[in-house]
Amino acid sequence: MRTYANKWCYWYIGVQVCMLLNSSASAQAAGKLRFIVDPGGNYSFVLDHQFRMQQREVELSAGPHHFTFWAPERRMVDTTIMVVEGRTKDIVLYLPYSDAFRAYDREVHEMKKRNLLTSALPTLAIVGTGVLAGVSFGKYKSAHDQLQADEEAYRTGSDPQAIAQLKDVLIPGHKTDLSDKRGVFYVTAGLFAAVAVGSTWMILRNAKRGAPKFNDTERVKFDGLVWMPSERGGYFMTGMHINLR
Amino acid sequence: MRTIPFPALTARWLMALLPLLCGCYKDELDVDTLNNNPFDREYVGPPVFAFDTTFTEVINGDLTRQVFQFRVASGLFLEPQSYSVFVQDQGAGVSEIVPQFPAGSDLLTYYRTPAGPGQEVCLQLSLSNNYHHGRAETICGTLP
Repeated sequence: MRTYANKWCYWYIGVQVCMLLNSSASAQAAGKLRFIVDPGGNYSFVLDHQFRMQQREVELSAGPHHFTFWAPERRMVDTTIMVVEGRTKDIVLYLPYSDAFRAYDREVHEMKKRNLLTSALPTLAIVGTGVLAGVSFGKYKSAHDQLQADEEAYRTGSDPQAIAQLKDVLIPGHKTDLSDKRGVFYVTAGLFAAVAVGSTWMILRNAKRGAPKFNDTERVKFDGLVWMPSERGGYFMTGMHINLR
Repeated sequence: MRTIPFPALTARWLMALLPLLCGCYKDELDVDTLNNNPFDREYVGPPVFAFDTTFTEVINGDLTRQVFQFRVASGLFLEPQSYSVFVQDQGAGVSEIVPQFPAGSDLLTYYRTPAGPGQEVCLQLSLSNNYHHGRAETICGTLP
């Protein structure tokens, strides 16, 4: 009985030694991949359709390995890379923007253009016509002040000739001036009111529109690559490489 | 609570102010109502000049002249003013500018030579400054 047990023990040890020798041999047959991916470090990849990873360097057994790269806003890129034994290979990769992101970017661009037309320009128009109305009001007020000064000049005047000139020439002229300035002010104020009403309406209408939202469909697809459904709902399969040497 | 963008809010305030701004500064100065300054040629109001007295005086021992004194109602002036009075003596066919003497006095004196005793003299008087004359008033007095 003891001999039988020993025999099994020897067999088990032999298997373990074989496995160790085998793993040692496969470690020697490994190679490294170093990724230089546009856009920078914010990317992930799924290795051999199984392990989701997020690192710049991986050490893998020699031979072909399948990668699916993805980064936010970018499209997934599938590729097979040959790992060469004992060598470090630099992989330079550009992840193109996804169609969804391009559409979103286009919408954002259009929104900016729309904002320029429906917010910035109306604001500029409000400010412009407001300044115009303000300036014409200032002139209107000056003309009125001039008439008040004329009235005061009449009150304090003691030169009959100057008083006659004031009444016959200056005051009528200043009254005409006031009338003109008032007309200009009414026109500019009306213009300002019209522009303000129109612009306010445009601004408020534009404010009701929400900003475009980006739905990263590529991310959903990428997440689905390693999503394993189960009875309790499912789980992600991720991989991690720890270099023990 | 909905937030209103700043330019729209400002515009609303300014629009609310517009009627107020439009309402002020009416053209309230009417030239026709400007007639209460005694220096104005179109002055309409109480008489500015009033006869005071006449008498004769002898100067340099042998020359007699008649003195015609009148008062200026400076209380009618809208502001305190210095002035002269332009006197037109139609009877004698002369005119001259009579200054305030002493300065600030409202009792002015017109000297007339040669004397015409017992004669009524009418003078056309106007307030004057810078050789420009205002509305004329006539006052009369009988010489002694």
